[in-house]
Amino acid sequence: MNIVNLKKVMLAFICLIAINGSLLGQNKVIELWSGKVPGAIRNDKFQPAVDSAAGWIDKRLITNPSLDIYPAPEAKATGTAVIICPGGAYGGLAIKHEGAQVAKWLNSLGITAFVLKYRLPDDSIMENKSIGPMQDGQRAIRLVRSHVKEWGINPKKIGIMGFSAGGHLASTLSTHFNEKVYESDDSTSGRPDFSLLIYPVISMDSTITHWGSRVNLLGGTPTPELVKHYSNELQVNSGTPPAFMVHSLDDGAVPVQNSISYALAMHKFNIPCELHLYQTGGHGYGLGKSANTESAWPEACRKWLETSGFLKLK
Amino acid sequence: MRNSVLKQTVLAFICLIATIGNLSGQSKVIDIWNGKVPGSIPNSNYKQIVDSAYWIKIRFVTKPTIQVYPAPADKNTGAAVVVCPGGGYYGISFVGEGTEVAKWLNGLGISAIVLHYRLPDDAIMKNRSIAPLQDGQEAIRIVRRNAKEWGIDPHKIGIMGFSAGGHLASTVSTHFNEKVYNPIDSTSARPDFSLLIYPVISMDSTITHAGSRENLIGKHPSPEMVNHFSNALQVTAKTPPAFMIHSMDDGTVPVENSMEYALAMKKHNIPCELHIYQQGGHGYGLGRSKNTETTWTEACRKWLDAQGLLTKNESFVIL
Repeated sequence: MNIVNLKKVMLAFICLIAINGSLLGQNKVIELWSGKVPGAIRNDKFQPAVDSAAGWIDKRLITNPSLDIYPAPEAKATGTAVIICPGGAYGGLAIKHEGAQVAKWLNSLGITAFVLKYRLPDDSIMENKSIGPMQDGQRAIRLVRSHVKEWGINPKKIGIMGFSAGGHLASTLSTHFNEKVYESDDSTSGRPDFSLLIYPVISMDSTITHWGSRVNLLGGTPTPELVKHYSNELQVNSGTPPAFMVHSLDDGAVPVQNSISYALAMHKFNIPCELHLYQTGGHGYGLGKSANTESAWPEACRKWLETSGFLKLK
Repeated sequence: MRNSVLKQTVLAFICLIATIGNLSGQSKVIDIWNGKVPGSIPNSNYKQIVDSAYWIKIRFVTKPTIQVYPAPADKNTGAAVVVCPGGGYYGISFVGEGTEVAKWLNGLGISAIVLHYRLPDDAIMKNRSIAPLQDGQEAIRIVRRNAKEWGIDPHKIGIMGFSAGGHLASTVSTHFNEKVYNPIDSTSARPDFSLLIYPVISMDSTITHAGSRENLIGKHPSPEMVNHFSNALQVTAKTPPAFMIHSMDDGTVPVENSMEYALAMKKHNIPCELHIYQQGGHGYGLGRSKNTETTWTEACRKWLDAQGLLTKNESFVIL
């Protein structure tokens, strides 16, 4: 091996380490269930697998769901926390641009962030695949709320955030927080105090849903009752927390009607809600990556959080 | 006096004149019909007034006008906006939704043309439901005819409307080809873009603003008339791109008005952006609280910029 090749190999090796380090975020990871995952089916074929090039966690990784913790910097801590549900059509998790990057942005606002690595619906590892993600989400909120002292969080300022299918999970948690989906004597509330829904899937109605997310969550031929149950625009009630929402009118993956129907339901129940429908952006742009108007959404979100009283220093 | 001092003095003097001109809000007022208002009924008892009960507005407009506020020469983009103030088709909110807006647009390098349109009234017009549209179409045509002289790009003429003025602006955006009078030439009345601020869009009784509807099309309009002036139903592939805002808690004009228009625009693949703010209620003009709705002017600036409407254009600088 000549020197040049050796250098190349070394460089590749260093990059690999750097990528792995960045993916893991060098942050504390907390198991949600301490090994006792509800409704789990043991399946040895499910081995951890990470496609690091795409910043994507394949669903085989997630048999043991967990939270990555990104504490707010002490100097600007607000006491507000946000649990982030990355998207991926209930078939994977975009943990980089809809996870770690978002957590770092929230940290810059003085918010403690948690990236939720929830189980993805699959009959081969769970008894009831439709409730798997909701179990993990409810548990995550309860876990954060029961550790507020330790993590410097105000128990009344715990929000949920979701992108795309993660937005379906976040809106499910905002509307089904009282639904008992696992056995527990934990009386901690599973209700988020606010929701941030970014180009979310909301509905499972065949006319406006994201088909891939629906098939993954409910299967190919769900009953009308199941469709309604997970069409969150129909599940909004007076207990649903306030929401800030973003969608692009040219979204070719998740129709904008998803966000509109949720906003109208919120309006009906007089729950504070804000919805920005950008002209461009398509789908899956995370914090924004173009020079167009949709890249302004984090600033609109910051402003909403501020006027809602979530950015006051502790 | 040394040459450089002389130059400085002259410069200061020019600046002073420019400042005074700007401060006093010098605008050119143009009678849009030159005395020949289409479909008008002479009525000597009918007098325009300024009414300041509840909010300041002009009422009983018989002679519609435009107030032209040219963009400052040093930042002229060549873009122009015809501004339709609101007032429930009952008044013209000419300050908060007129002159103040013109000054903001001027700050972006956009020429502003505030339209004082006729308000529907059987006492002075043969067909009251088309009068505001007649005035709106002619306002766009006048700006386009005078584009060169006014330092305006004839392809960058937008229409803006607040509340009922948003109904007029969306009517002009969807009915620009409708022949509601005999124009003097073939100049297009199509706006190149629309800015719709807490607009009335629909005349459908379930979501309309009842006052605007009754003033425009009467107490018992035919279903055809309702559909004709429900502008979400009138969007076509030719409708210009739109930037829209509305507040979720608007207790006067339901947010469904803007949602319907945005969905119609999407159906026809026309660029559109809609910001629905949590608060603000109705009629806040450029914004007056510390809440999120006050950021709409910045969102609008970004949208205009992304459409390429804010690029300073030397060729439109008037010397």
